[in-house]
Order: sequence, then C-alpha cells, then structure tokens
Amino acid sequence: MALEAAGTVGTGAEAEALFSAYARAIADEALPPQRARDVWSGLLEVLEAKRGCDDEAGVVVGSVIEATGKIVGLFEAVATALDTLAAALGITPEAAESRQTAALAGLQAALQVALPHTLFEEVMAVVYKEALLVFGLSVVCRDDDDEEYDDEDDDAENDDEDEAATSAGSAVLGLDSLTQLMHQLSVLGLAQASVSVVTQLLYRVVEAHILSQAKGEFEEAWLDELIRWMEADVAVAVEAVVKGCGNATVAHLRERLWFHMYEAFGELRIRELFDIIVDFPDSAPAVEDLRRALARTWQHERLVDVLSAAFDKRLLHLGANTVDILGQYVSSIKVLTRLDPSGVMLDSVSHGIRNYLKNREDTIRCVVTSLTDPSPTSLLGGELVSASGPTGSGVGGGRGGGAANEDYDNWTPAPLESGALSATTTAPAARTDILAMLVNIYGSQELFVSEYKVLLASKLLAITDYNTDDQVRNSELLKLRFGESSMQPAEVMLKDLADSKRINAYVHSHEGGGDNELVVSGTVISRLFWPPLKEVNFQLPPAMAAQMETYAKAFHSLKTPRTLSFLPNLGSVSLTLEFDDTELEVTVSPLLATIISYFDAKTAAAVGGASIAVDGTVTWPARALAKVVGIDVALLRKQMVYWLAASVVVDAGDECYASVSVLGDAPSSSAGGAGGMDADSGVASLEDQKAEEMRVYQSYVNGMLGNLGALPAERIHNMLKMFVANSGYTASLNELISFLNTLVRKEELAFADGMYSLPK
Amino acid sequence: MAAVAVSSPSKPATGESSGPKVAKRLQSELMSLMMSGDEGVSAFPDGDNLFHWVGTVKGADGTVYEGLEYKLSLTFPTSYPYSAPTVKFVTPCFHPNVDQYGNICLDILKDKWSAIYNVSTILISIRSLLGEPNNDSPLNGYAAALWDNQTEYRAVNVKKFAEGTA
Repeated sequence: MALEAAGTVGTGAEAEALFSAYARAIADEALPPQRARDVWSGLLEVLEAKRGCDDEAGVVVGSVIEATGKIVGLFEAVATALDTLAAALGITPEAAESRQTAALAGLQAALQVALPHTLFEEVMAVVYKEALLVFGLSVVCRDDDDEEYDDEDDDAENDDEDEAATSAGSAVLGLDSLTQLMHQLSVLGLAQASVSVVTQLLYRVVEAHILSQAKGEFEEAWLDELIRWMEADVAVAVEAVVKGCGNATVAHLRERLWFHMYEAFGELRIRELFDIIVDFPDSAPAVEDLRRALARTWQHERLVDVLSAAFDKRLLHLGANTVDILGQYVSSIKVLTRLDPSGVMLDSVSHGIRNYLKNREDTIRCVVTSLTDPSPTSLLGGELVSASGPTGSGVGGGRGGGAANEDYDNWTPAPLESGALSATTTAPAARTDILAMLVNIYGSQELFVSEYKVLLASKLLAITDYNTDDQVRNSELLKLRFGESSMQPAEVMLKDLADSKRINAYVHSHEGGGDNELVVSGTVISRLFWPPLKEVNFQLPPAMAAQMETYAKAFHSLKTPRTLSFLPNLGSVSLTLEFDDTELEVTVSPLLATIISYFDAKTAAAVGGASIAVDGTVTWPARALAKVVGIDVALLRKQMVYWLAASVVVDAGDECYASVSVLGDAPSSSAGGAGGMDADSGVASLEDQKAEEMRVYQSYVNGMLGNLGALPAERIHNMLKMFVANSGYTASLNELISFLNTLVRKEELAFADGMYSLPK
Repeated sequence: MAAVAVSSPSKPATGESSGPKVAKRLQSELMSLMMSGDEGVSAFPDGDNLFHWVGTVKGADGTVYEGLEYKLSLTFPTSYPYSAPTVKFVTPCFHPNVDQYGNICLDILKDKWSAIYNVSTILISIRSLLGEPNNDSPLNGYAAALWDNQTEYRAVNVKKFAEGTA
C-alpha cells in the first residue's frame, strides 16, 4: 500500500519526510506493539516450562537464538523494504540510513518493553553464562567449600549457580552459534542493554576463578598467574562477547574487571590472613601477593577489621595457649610489617592482642621462657640474638633519642588509609623490634626483668655442676637490651653461682677426707638479690644435718662473720635405693629423700614410731612419719605419691605406708627421671608473690575491723581503695572476698550476716 | 610553745593546697601504723573521711586499766601536722586527766604539740597516760583522789567501764 503512493511524490525534503513516515509505518506493521509480546511468547513459554529444571540452559539458549533469529529476520525484512522504498523515492542512502536507524530503534524499544525486565536479565544471564563457557570461563567455583565466600554475595546467585553447575563441564554453544547469537543480540540492541548483566557475570567468573585457583594456596604467588589469566583468557572472551556494545563500553568494562580482580583477590587473602599468619613464613608468597593487591585497592581498613575480628574469634579466648597467642602475635608483626612498613595497620591490629595478653597471667613467663629457650624451634630464641645484635640500642636507653632524630629527613606522615584507627602510635624505631613490642605490652620492662629473675633462679637452682655458661650468655644478651642496671640482680645471681663453685671447692678440700666424707655441695646465694624462695621446713635426717653443719662451719671459717642458713627444701639428692633384688638410682628433692630415708630399717629403729618386719620392711603410720620429718600430714601424703608411683613404698592401708623388700621390674620407667622435682621449682612464682602482697592488706583489714567493728566486704574494699597509700591496692572486690574468706577459714577473721569481724 | 610559734606562720602559706598534702601524710601514717603492728594501740579512718579516725587503746598490762579497751575519736585539722588533732575518749574513761565528756588533758595535744608527733605517738602517749596520770592538774578530782588506792581504783574503774560500755 505504501509503495503505490510512493510513485506520486517528487522531490528532496518532501520525499525524506514521506520516507520517515512510511518507515515508521512499515516498522509498526512489521512488529506492532501487541505483537512484540507474541515474539517473545515462545521464549517465555520455554522459560516458564524450564524454570523448575536447572539443566536446560541449552534449551533456553536455543530458544533465545530461535526467537532472536526470527526477530532479526523481521528486522532485515523491514530494512530491505525500507531500502527499496528509499531507492524508489530517490533518497540518498546516507539520508535514508539515519531515518532507517530511527525506525529500527523504535522497534528495539518496543521489543525490550515487551520483554519484562527481570525476565530479560534472567535470560541474558543464562545466555551470557553459556557464551562465556565457550571461552572456558565458568561462574562456578570448582572448589567445593566456597560457602564461606558466598555468604556475603547476593543470594539470588545461588540459584543460577546450581543451574549452571551441571552444564559447567560442556559448552552447549559452538563458537559459530555464539557468533551468530552475538550478532543477533547486537542487531536487536539487546547487547547494549545487558552490559550490567555481563559485568556481574564476569565479576563472578573472576571471583570463582580466584577461589578455585588460589584459595588456601599460600605457598605460591598467584597474582602473576591471575594477571596472565586476565590478559589471555578473560580479555579474549570480553572481546568476543561484548563486542557489540561499543569500544568505550568494552574499555570501561575491562578497567572495572581488572580492579575487581584485585579487589576479589585482596578480599580472599584478607579473609585468609589469619591462616596466612599461622603458616608464616611458608606463606610469604601470599603475603607478597596481598601487598601488591592492597597497593591498588586500599583495602587496609577492611583488613584491620577482618583480622581483628578473626583474632577475637579464633585466638583471644581461654581455649588458646598463651604460647600460641604469642606465636601468632609475633607472626602477625612480621606479616603486617611486610604489608605495611609504616606500621599503622600493625598498631591498629595489635592493640587488641596486647590488651588481651596483658590480662593473661603467664604472658611474661612465656615470653621469657621462649626467649631463653636455646632450642632452634623456640618462638623467640633467635629474636634475642638478632635483635640485640648490631642495633642493640636497648629498649630503655636509646629509644626516642638518637634513633628518632637520625632519620627525620626521611620522615613521612602516617598513611591515611587507617588513620582513624591509629589511635595508639608506637615510636617508629620500635616497630620492627618484635622483642621490644612484646616487652612493651606491659608498658615497662620491670615486670619482664623480675619474671626473668624468677626463671633464672629456678634454672640456676636446678644446676648441680655450677655450669652457668648458657645462662650467662642469655643474661648478657638481655643486658644489651635492658641495660646494665636493671639486669644487675641477674648478674649477682650468676656470680653467686660462680662463687659457690669456689666456696664448694674450698669446703671440700678442707673438710673432705676422713671417715665422714662430705657429700654435700652447696649453692650460696645472696638473698637480697634473689626472688623470694619457697621455704618448707622439715627435719633433715641426722646424718645429713651433720654434713650440713660441717659445711656451714667451713663456710663460716672462710667468710667470717657470715654464716650459712640452709634452705633444705631446695636442691636435689642423688640416691641409690637398695632392694633385695636390685638397686634403684634416683634424683629427687631433699624432702623426698628425707622421707624415704626413714624407711631404712636401721634409721627407723633409731627414731622409733615405725613397725619393722622381720624381712626388714618398715611400716610407718602417716602421722608418725610426718612428725618425725617435721611436716604436716597433708604435705607428707602429697610427697608420698611420688614414692608410691615408683613402687618403692606401698600403701599398707589404714593411713600407713610400708616399704618393699623386692622392687621387681615394674617401675623402671616411672621412676627413671627426676620426677619428684618437676613441679617444685623452688622459687616462689609471681602469683605466690602476689598473694604475699595481699597479706599486707590483712593488717589494714585488722585495723579497720578492730576500730570500726564488723564491716561488709564492699565497705572494706572501698576503704582499702581510699586509704591505702599511693593506691597500691589494685585487687578487685572478688579477689578481696576470696582473700577474706581464706582468712575466715584460717579463723583469723569471723564472718556472720554478711559482715566480717575480728574473732573474739 | 616555741615549735608552734615557729610553724604557725607557714600555715597560711600552705592553706589552699594543704588538703592533698595532709591526706598524703595521713595515708602514710596509716600505712606505717598498719605495718608496725603495735600491740595495744590502733586506729583507722572512720568511714569515708580521712580526717576523722577511730582509735583503740588497750590498757597496759600491770596497770589498773589492764584488759580494758577504749575507743577514741581523732579529728585532724587541715593544718595538720602543724596543729594538733582533737582527740577524745568515746568510751567513757574513768581517769584523773579525762573529763566526763572524754576530753583529755595531755600536754602534747595542747601546747607541747609538734609536727614530729603522729597518730601512733599520740595513742602510745595516751596509753601510758592511763597508767601514769598527772594528778597535779586533774580534770576528774574523784579519780585523782582515788588513784593512791589502786585496788579500790581498779574496782571503781571496772565498774565505771562496765557502765560505760553497757
């Protein structure tokens, strides 16, 4: 109908206007708005039918190809018709083309309107997923345990993912049909409209790839591998799939993809950072990767948040050993200094750890123990040597002075990325100094040094041959760090040992020989410089007591006017126990030795109180034995556990212990070591010392109760807080109550109606 | 008297800032008192106020006050230790130098006060005053008159003490 009219019209502008109108009409007729829906209906039916079953992506894609093919056919027919019309009207091709495009744009719009938006995206997602599969890019992570990662992604994706999971292996599209499809889509203008779908898909492709490739693999550098993959595989796919969208879009998409790749990789590594730190230094490549990713994405703040949360969740709770926490902290320091040499991140993260460690009672002990542990596997063994080597400015002395001034030329402001988090700042000089950081947990080295004294004391007391080389070395190293003056007590302790060796040699050379040979070797210590030592008083066997006295006399003659006072519970005794069948050699504490000595028939007979059988076995009632030894029964029972375990003594029932005449071979393993010595280090631990400090307040409590009468615990607590000079009182109310209750148990206080008072 | 004369000019100078210093001094006195563990005397701040203490003095063995225990109140001025605290018996005390309101006539609490005295010396002085009264200037004439007869004094004293603490 349109063609008939065409012949009548003549020239230029009129012809063009007429062409426009006809073009619109032809387009409308080819695809009237109500028919647009019909065009999609076939596809919609397929989609509706297949929505339930996930494995039909091929069918969907097929029908998309079919449907779009049909429409493209229409488009081409319209275009041909318009071409003919243009020729008939005598319009120039250039002028015709712009009008033709306008007419087709109307068609495209009609088609897109007809296709519901959500459905469109769904369809396009399927289509492009298949398209990407052609290039071997899958949105499905081949690793099974990606749940953790999926948590925060949009949930809708999960459906698609399952859908695609089955078809992931084989592409349903051939390269040819893909090319055809892409052509059709771009003709219909659908390609341009689905850029966002494609972008999302590609993001997921990248994420999935990173997850399946790099997840949990810390010992290889993956970033370069990923960059290669992006440059080769992804770039080709992007080129082919989004070609129809125009160059600017492609370039922009590529930029975003690159950034997303770094971001996704950074995110993965940040989430894994806790494990990376656990594996450090084996995970060094992963750390380096993360550093590079961070340089592009600035996820520093995120890293601090995630890592702090991971620490709270996985490390800083009662279930973790202090040693492990310290180990993780040390590794964190190393890793975070690599990631961020300025140390701002480290500051932010370590704040929580430091606070937690501060509340752990055995932190210092662990630090000191691992510091002085000579074994190569020890946590900090190397730290002491390396850190105090050439730089050795010392925590106390050099810091803040010379070191800080020297490089003020190179000073750079703290990075802004975690600026808000860096409430605490550590002096730059101390940042890489791990040992200093550990020591500074407590803000001062004082506690550290006193814990070292305790450790050193127990180590020195355990030494029987006066060989202090290891300890001297350690203490010299510590001296470099903490300065001469604070290590002076340790110095004195070591010197005591050296002096003891000489004194011992002198005493033995003067007193030895004769029928009463001296078997005692003494360690003479300067009480003022040693940490408080545990004292257990008991009666040494007469033979030993005589020996000690000889020793003391010899010492007195050497060092007049000084006299020796023995701490009999410290030290060790090498014993040979003779049985009818065998002999047993043990090294035990003096108290254990004293106890067992009374099971010797002759000694027992001399003391009295025990029943001695014909075969020489001795049976002691616990009470009588405790009295002879001079300790209370409870302590005796505790000590007897050792001899019972060694089968040297048997429980004769009725609170009696009996020696055996035949040892047999059962106990060889259990009694082999110096088991009796284990838990008793002989040095009062810091907790004991703390309990001792608490005793100070007893006099305050007595004063209070004596003058003011009965008082409740809260009142006592408040008064202690208020009146103890210099606020030396730091215990909590609960600590006070437990302390008061121990006093009540000892009957040093009375408790009634919630009030404490002095006993009448 | 001389000591007071010398130290009093410094009082206005310390005036405002004396609070914390006095508190510190009292705290350290408390500390040494608690640590010394002196038999027979003790004291402790009463409630929340560091400037008001309750003291306890036990009668010394071998005196007529043996086995009796007296509570005292000690109130410290802000100019302490440059001026003496006000010390009174709370438990009624039958004594030549103590009146019926518990006021004590003791030279070191009046004109012989010096900054070197402290709570501990005050209480020890009071404790010895119990056994060795100054009968020349009695506040309680009856007690002073009775003092020479120690047996009767003891009997009256124990009776008064029982009445006072009942």
